[in-house]
This record gives sequence, structure tokens and C-alpha cells, in this order.
Amino acid sequence: MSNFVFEDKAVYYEVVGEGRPLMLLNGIMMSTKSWAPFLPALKQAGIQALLVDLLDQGQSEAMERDFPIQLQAEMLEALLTHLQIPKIDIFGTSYGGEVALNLAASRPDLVDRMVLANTVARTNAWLKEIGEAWILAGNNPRAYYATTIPVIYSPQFYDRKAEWMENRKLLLTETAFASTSFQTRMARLTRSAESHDVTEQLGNIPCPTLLISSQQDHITPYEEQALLAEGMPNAELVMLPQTGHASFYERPDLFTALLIGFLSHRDRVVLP
Amino acid sequence: MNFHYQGRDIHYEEYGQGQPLVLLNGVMMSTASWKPFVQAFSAHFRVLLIDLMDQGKSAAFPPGYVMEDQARMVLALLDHLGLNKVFVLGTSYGGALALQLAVLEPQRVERLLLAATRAYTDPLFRDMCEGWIHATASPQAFYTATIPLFYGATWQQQQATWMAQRRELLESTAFSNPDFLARMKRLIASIMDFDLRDHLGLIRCPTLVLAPEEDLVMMPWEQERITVGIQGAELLRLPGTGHVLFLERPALFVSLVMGWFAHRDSPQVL
Repeated sequence: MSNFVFEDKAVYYEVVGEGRPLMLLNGIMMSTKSWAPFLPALKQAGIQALLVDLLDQGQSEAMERDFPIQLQAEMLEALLTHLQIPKIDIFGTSYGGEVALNLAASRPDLVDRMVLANTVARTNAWLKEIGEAWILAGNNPRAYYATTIPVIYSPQFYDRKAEWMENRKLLLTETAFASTSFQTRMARLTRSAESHDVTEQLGNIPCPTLLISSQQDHITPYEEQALLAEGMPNAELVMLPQTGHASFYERPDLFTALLIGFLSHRDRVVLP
Repeated sequence: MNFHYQGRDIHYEEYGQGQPLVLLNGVMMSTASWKPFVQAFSAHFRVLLIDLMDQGKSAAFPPGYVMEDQARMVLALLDHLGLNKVFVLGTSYGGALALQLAVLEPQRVERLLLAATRAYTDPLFRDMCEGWIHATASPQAFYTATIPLFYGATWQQQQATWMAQRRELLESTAFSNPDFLARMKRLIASIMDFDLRDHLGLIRCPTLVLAPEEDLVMMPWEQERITVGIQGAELLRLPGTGHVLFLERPALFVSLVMGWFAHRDSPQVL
């Protein structure tokens, strides 16, 4: 665990294990801690995990004013320079996938392979309104939970994990969601995504990319991932039925197979 | 290598070391069809390729056999090779065979990957099979009755030249070969009464089902039927992809196969 200073702000990151490095980029409410369950599988596969709390996330220092999502990409560019990593694989989910797209659009040379789960090319008017609802609900923990969580998990997951969800609701509404500093950061992160739009640059992102979409994703719908697949020259699209926005949480076994399969087995297949 | 089964030769090939991975062919495929993938798979597994009865370099078999007979042949070969626990990857006809194997000897199959297959020959597919059998009457009829359904609509638009060359090749070789067509008739007939709907619950191994969305032979709802029937089975849909997904999206196919069989950690998220 280390800190790296970017424009006077301490950015928290961790390098875990040995092997080919993979930078994991968090969804908006996530942090470096969220990846703990997946680290043994990455270690087993000989992948070194570079975990980062993005600006205003987790153990990174709080920002003072609003910033655009592009600043996250600039921060990561500086971090890679700092770590002397010339080219890296990236996994990003949701907000983290959008940060990854901004980085790949401005510095395609830095990205070897990408896996993007539940990620969109742009924050359209519809998604902006969802963000606004989140910000407006920020002063009431239960309202924040009810506004954000039901769209993150699928109805099937709610049924399967009813007890876990209830416990999680208690935990979140009494801790993070009740914290003023967490809510201030969430609002800034949410607003930072408003400027996200790489639709015109998709054709310039040549790295092999696996796009993971979910049928029951009510934040980053399947159709948005289909747009990414259409615009990116070297992208593969798969879709998880009966799965919600947090696909890696809802289908951890399949997610691990998809991620590691795509990153570790790059054999070129020449057909007759 | 040859394995003698019921007085006839079954051709099989083995590559690599490690846990055994059995690849089961689609109806028109043979051991040769896997050649582009052997290097990737055999780097981690002991890969077993088999020409099923009436396929490739295996002998012709008398008519009347069904999927269960193919499965018993494969089980006999596994016995012969001393393979007690295997990973099984089956596509199309080979996927149905994989299901049949797993139903007959569930303890033998450790992990399954089913690519574009079915657990049940419904009336629609039964009539399609009958149509294919009738179409063996001419190379052009057999081509037009089968191949346009096997490749995805997207692929056919993007690869028009390749498809035209393929058509010429198939019509002038295999599809005008009476021996090949007679074998096809018997193979197709062997899946016409196939129905494992009430037996899928016997399968308890981790199972991944791949559902190409443009598959007009083993339709997406057949993949859903399998997923619902096998407890804990994972379903993955492949947009813009047809029945022969391993040819249409070979790089993705390799990463899915290797991901599923080589990286079996179960992250404890909850």
C-alpha cells in the first residue's frame, strides 16, 4: 500500500502479487477493498493487481472542488509513469470502465488489453438524471440506499440473496451512506461523470477489449455496450442474462473465468 | 490412434499433459476441425479429440444408433484410456453428447462447457433434421438446407467472399461424396429422438452454457432450457454470433474455454 501525490492530492494504491500487471478500476461506490475476494484467483493466474482508489474514493484524499472524469485518466497516466509501467492491462467496471475509456482514448499506447464491465461510452441525458437523483438523495441515508441500490442489483439477485441484502442495507445506511464526507465525495464523483463522452474517439482505441454487459442492467444498459462494440475496432461483446449492473458480484465464478481467460490466453487462432 | 469398438475403428488423437479435456464435435466436424485450437488448449490440458461413430477417420456404423450409443462409445474409450474424471467441451451435436455422457455418468464429468447445443429435439428441430436428410439428395440442396443456418447472419454479411469459396469447396468435395452424405444421414437420425429434459437434474458439475444470439439451429431458448435444468449452470449470451461460434469468434472462444477450465477459483463475495 502506497500513496502517490497527484496535483497536491494523495492517491492511495496497492500493488498485490507478481506477474503481468492488471490495473483494476473501481465503480463509483467501490474502493481498493472491494477487490479482496478476487485477489486469490488473480494470484493463481500469475496476474499482479494494481488497485487504485480514484480521486475522491476510499483512502485517496478528498478533492476540494468539482473535477471532470478526464482528470481521473490524467491521474492514472501520472501513476503509471511514476510506477514506470509503459503499458498495462486494465479492468474497469462502470465508472472505472469509463475512466479506462478516457485513458485509452487519450493514451492508447498505454493500454495493452481491456476488460470493461457494465460501462458506457457517454453519460447521456437519461444517465445524468439518474446521477441527479443520487445527488439529491445524498442527505438521507435510507433515501440514498433506495435510490441507488435497487438499480445496481438484478431482481433475481434480490430474491437469491434476500438476507444478505437486508444486512447490507443496515450496514450501509448506518455507516457510509450516513457519512457527510462520503456523500460529498459521491456527489463530486457523480458530477465528474457528467462530462464523460468518448463516442467520437472509440475508433482510436485499438487494444483487444472484452465488453461484459448484463441483461438487467438499469444504469448502463446493454444497448450502450453494443454501441461500444460497434465503435471499437477490436472489441468482443458478451452478455450475462438475469444479471444486474454489479455483474462481477452477482456472477463471480463466470466473471473470473471471463476476466482471466481474456487476459491470460491470447493465443492467435488462424482458421483455414 | 485407433480404438476398436464393436468391431469397428474409432479414431482419436491426444495432445499435451495435464487434466484431461475431451472435445466433442458438431455433426459435420471431425478431429481436424479443432486443429487451430489444439496448441492453446494442449498448453494446459491433456486434450482428447475423437471422431465419433460415422465421423472423420472413424469407421462407418450401421444405421439405427442413437445419442446414447455415441455416449457409450465415448465412455468405453475413456475407460480404455483410464480417464476417470474429465472436463468436457461439446459443441452442437457434441454438446448434446456431452449432456448424455454427464447424465449416464455424472461423477465422471468434472466440468462442462456447452457451446450452442440442446437437451431436447423438439418438433421444430425434428422436422429440420428430416429436411436435412432429404437434402442429402444433392450437394446444392444439402448446402442451402444446412450451412446458411449454421453461420450467423452478421458473419455471412461480413464474410460473403469466404462463404462463397466455402460453398464451392463443400459442394465439390464432402457434399458430393455419397459416403459422407450417408454418414450424415445416420448421424442426423441419431439426434432425432433425443430428449434429456427430465434428466438434466442429474448433472451437478459446474456448467457453462454459451448461447449465440444468431443461432438458428440450437436456438437461444434451448440454451435457457439447459441452464434452468442444471442446478447452478451459468449462461452467457453472445450477441452477433451464429451457431459455429468457435469459427466466428475464435479468439473469444479460446479465452472462454481456457477461462472456464483453467481458472476455477470461486471468489467468496458474499
